[in-house]
Amino acid sequence: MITARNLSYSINKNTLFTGLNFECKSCTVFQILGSNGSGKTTLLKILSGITQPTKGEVEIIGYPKKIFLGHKIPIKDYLTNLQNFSFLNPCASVKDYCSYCEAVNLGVSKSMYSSNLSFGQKKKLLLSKIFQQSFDILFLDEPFVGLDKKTINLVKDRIIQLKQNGALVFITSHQETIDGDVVIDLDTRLIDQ
Amino acid sequence: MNEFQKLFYKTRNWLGPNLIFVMVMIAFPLSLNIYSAELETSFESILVIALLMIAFISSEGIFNEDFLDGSFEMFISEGRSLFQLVMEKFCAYYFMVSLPISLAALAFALANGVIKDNYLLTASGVFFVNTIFTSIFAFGSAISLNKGAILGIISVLPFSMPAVIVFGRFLDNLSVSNISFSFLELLAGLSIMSFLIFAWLSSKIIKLHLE
Repeated sequence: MITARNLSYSINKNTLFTGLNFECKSCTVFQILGSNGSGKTTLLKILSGITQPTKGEVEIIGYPKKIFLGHKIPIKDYLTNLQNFSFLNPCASVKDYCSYCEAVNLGVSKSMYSSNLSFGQKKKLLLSKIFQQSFDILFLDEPFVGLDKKTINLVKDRIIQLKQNGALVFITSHQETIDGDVVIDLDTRLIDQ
Repeated sequence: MNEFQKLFYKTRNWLGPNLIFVMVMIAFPLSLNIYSAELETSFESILVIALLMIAFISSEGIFNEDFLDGSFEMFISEGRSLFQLVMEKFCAYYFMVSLPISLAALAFALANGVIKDNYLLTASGVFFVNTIFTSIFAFGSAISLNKGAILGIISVLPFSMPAVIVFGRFLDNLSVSNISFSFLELLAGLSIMSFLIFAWLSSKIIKLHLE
């Protein structure tokens, strides 16, 4: 589904990675490992089409439905929780919001402004996107940061469910490891399949 | 939820510029003399300055929030068009800021005795020139996304001068219907061109910032 050919990325004369070659097919969890500043987020951004590589190319076959969820949380403080939920999931209903809140223990009022939410609660609201919608390719950058144990397990289960439904999941994580089918270490440039 | 709804809920971004415009236009006759004959002659310059100021204030942070909170990244990754998103943002600002301001400007022009008729022409002219200024300053805002708004305004201010000149001639000739209508057509053309060109340029600049 995604083929990376000779991927290289440099910024301010600092080379993050060079000559990366790999091929990823659907029903796979692709885990990216590496120390701070090794280029994990950059690689995710390149694969998702946000950033262009310095050299090489990324080929995506077909027109898959994809999503990139990074470090930043696009939750608007001036909107209520329900409005933010609807903004992230245009097809979802109030009932979906209530059942999602119950599932992830997000016990907040739908009419409460999101400015009152903690980092973890905002992250839960953002992750509603992967629970409410199906994607062919997911790019998850440190998705477990700020989450409680119960929600981490729920996210892991959802990732496995999406994978079983045919999705290709790219994930970077320092805190919690998820068993990747393919693991790439940007420090050693070893690909373990 | 679309860009119009988002702007509607972000009250300070549209209500603030509208209120500042009203305050400037109220303060202007007070500073001269309510009964002064100078009111009519200096109205045009005050209006142009107020419109420039409002366009700058309203479009200053048009892209900042989405850039900083990762909305643009999520949007691009979904394969959606950034050009279309920028156009939606422009349209939301035209509707929530430019339209009320054009109606307020018409009311102030009537109150100051600047126009006796041609209400629709006046309101349309102010609307078009405000949309031009908004598009230009929004482009400036895109250029200076992570460098401060002043750099943006300095770099794009010259683009607004042709519109200021055409708008000045338009106001001068308001009493001559045929001529003022030609100037209105010119402003409308400039408005459409600036909308498309600056929306496209802004989307390319934002993409570059993200890279």
